[in-house]
Amino acid sequence: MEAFADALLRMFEPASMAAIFLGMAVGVVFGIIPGLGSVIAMTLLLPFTFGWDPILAMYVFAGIMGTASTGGAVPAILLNTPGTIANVCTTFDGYPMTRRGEGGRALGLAASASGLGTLFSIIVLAALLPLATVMLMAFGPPDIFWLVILGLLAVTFASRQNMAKGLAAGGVGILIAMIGSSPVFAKIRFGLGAEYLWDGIDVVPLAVGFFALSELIAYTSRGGTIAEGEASLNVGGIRQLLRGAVEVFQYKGILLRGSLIGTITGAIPGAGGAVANFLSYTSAKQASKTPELFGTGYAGGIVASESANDAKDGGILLPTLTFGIPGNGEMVIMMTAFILHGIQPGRDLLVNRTDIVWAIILGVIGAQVLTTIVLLGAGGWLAKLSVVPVRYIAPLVAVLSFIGVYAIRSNIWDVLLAVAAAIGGFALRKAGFPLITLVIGFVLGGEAEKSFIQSLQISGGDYMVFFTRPVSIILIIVIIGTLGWSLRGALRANARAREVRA
Amino acid sequence: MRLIRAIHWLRALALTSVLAVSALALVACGGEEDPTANFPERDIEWFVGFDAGGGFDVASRIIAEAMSEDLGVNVVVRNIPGGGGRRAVQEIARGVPDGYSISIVNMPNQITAELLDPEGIDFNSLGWIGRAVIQTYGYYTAEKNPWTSVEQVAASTPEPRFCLTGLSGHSFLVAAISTQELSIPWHPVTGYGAAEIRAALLRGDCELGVGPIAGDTLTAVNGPDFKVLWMFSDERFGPVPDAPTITELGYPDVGGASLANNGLVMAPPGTPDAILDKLSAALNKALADPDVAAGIAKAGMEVSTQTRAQSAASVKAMFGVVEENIGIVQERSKSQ
Repeated sequence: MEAFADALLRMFEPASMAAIFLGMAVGVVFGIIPGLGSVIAMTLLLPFTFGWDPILAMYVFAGIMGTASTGGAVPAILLNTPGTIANVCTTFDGYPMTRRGEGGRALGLAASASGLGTLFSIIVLAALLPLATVMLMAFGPPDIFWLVILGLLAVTFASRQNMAKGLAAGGVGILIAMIGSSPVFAKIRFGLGAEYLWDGIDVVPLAVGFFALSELIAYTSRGGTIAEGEASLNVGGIRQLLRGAVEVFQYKGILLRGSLIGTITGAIPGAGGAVANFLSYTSAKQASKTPELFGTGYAGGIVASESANDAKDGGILLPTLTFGIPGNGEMVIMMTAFILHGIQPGRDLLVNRTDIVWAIILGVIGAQVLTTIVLLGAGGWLAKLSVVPVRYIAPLVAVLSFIGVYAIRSNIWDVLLAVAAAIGGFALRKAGFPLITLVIGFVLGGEAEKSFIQSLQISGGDYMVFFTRPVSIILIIVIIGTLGWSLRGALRANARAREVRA
Repeated sequence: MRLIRAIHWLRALALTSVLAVSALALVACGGEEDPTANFPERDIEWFVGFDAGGGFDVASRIIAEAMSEDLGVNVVVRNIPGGGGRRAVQEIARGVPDGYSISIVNMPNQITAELLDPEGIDFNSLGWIGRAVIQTYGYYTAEKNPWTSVEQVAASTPEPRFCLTGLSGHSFLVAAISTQELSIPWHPVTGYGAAEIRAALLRGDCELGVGPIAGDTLTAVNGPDFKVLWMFSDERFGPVPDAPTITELGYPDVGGASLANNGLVMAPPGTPDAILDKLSAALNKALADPDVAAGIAKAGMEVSTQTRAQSAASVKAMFGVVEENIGIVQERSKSQ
């Protein structure tokens, strides 16, 4: 507790606040630009922090990781263009709200749901640090396989209107995930002899093409402004923002579930913010009494999406701090920063360097609070974007998207892929295929294959490995329950339809 | 008559112009007599064939900063990940030989990739500048596993399983060659991220890990949960002085240091010697800086400098080692 008090006092020193502010500013900007995200921001700053006090460096990195996905909510809501892949579900309800002239309210909701999600997960992190071993041991490849299957089931719920088209898109996503080197065997599939396909299709150009660039085609062909007619007269405004910020508390159940899903998903190495985002959104919709409201500009949808993608921060720190096992790209950079500053993750860190642990925890919280304030402050101004004619917005978003896509690995083919995905995505949308299920299939398909084969390699080919672990059994029960629940819903809807006809 | 005179005059003019232009060209060439003299005149790009944040990337950034100071231009690290580092090799193999694009390359694994799936890269024709870093590999396991000798590992029942990132890359190369030489059964579990392997060892997905005993792995094996079984080095490895070398355990022929991962630095084929010499001098000067060496050591690698000739010779020697084992490597990269 003493260490906590010390750390808290230190955080309010000018240098600490400056470091947190720097991390926050960089994180938000990189979050807003489609394609860029926290990983690339942290990498770029890494060499500059070599000579710094390690605590200050931790504040910067914690600041970035805590805020990038909050920044990513801004273009998701205002431009239907998720700033990071973890903001995809925010577009479902955020953008319809913007078109209704409620962009400010949506930003308020996102800012406050993000802040509360982070807070929740950081508290859980602090509480769970002693239990980290259990978590880590509990999730082996067979358990991850079932978790991914549960996620893939979400495809059916995410395909809002047409389940058949949703499943078809999900299947195409899984097929795209198979391109490139197999995750387990040294074999290149669907390689077409092209060097570019060795490492498979990268999710960033695909998602930027699908969500950001294809949206540009859509709104350029429509013209005008994003918020139209009456709606455009009444955009933003601090009252709307505050209304959104306070409104979050009306969705306590969704907020809590989203935060919990985010935290747990974050703690599983490899799962990450995008999966947390999908799972939270689909489970909120499934549990809702009014599922038809999701996707129409429903406040609860934004809460589900934004609470989960920020709550993953607490979860993801758990295996990193306790075992030095980084769960995603952000944590790999964080580990590198630890090593360069002579910090040894693991028990030594938790016992002897509690100042560092608290610096990270407080850095994440501090940056998140700052982001929430900044978003609430600038939200009204940002929301005005929705009344700027799209012919000015489209080129800007296109340039930023291309920069983001190219910057990741300096590969011009990534830019071409994004363009191809934009055209393909636009066509699929026009034909009524939900792109989100394609991307879920893409993200989870590869993971499903990998964990399936790993499980069989571990067991030497014995399929019982999938049915004997406690976590697997729990997940199987949840899967059966989910299927039963949705089947029951479908049967009831059918019966009702029949009654109406009779 | 007038016409003829005019033609003569024109001819004379043309001849004079040609002569003048040639003379000018000669003068110009004379001015550029030694295009390498002023090297470098602009920023140099240093490619890293891996994602940012990895060992070679961190080392490259530290070295590039020191080289920038020395050369007076920026040495800019650019990540061009792809194909396990091969994309960077290809960029250099077909690059402009002017010294403004160079790359760190993981050897001997790129030779393995070339032998298994030839792209027509002649490694001996590349302009070898020197060696940036070296990573020493070892076997590690969870503390709870009681083994102390190679024989105990080999005879353990059930068969010990090997957690690997994939069936390619340097860790795979070391695992494939060493298990064959040490008669350890080949039972790989693949598809883990490098750091996930430690979680997998704790969980019991597998019993053996192989990799550079550096960075976070070094931290882990110095902690209470993991231990090093043996190192592939000729002498005891400084950061883990208690771990035996494979030679000490009675297997001097397995390869020892020849199984290390080398971060060599290279330039496109045909780069002038004078430029390569300048780059080599700048690289080795940067590596001689104690701060650079300390930073690299912190990131879990060692500085082990080579002259240009030594690097070129070690590439030739690596070909020998890899060619000798390519059969088993190929077989195991297809098996599971």
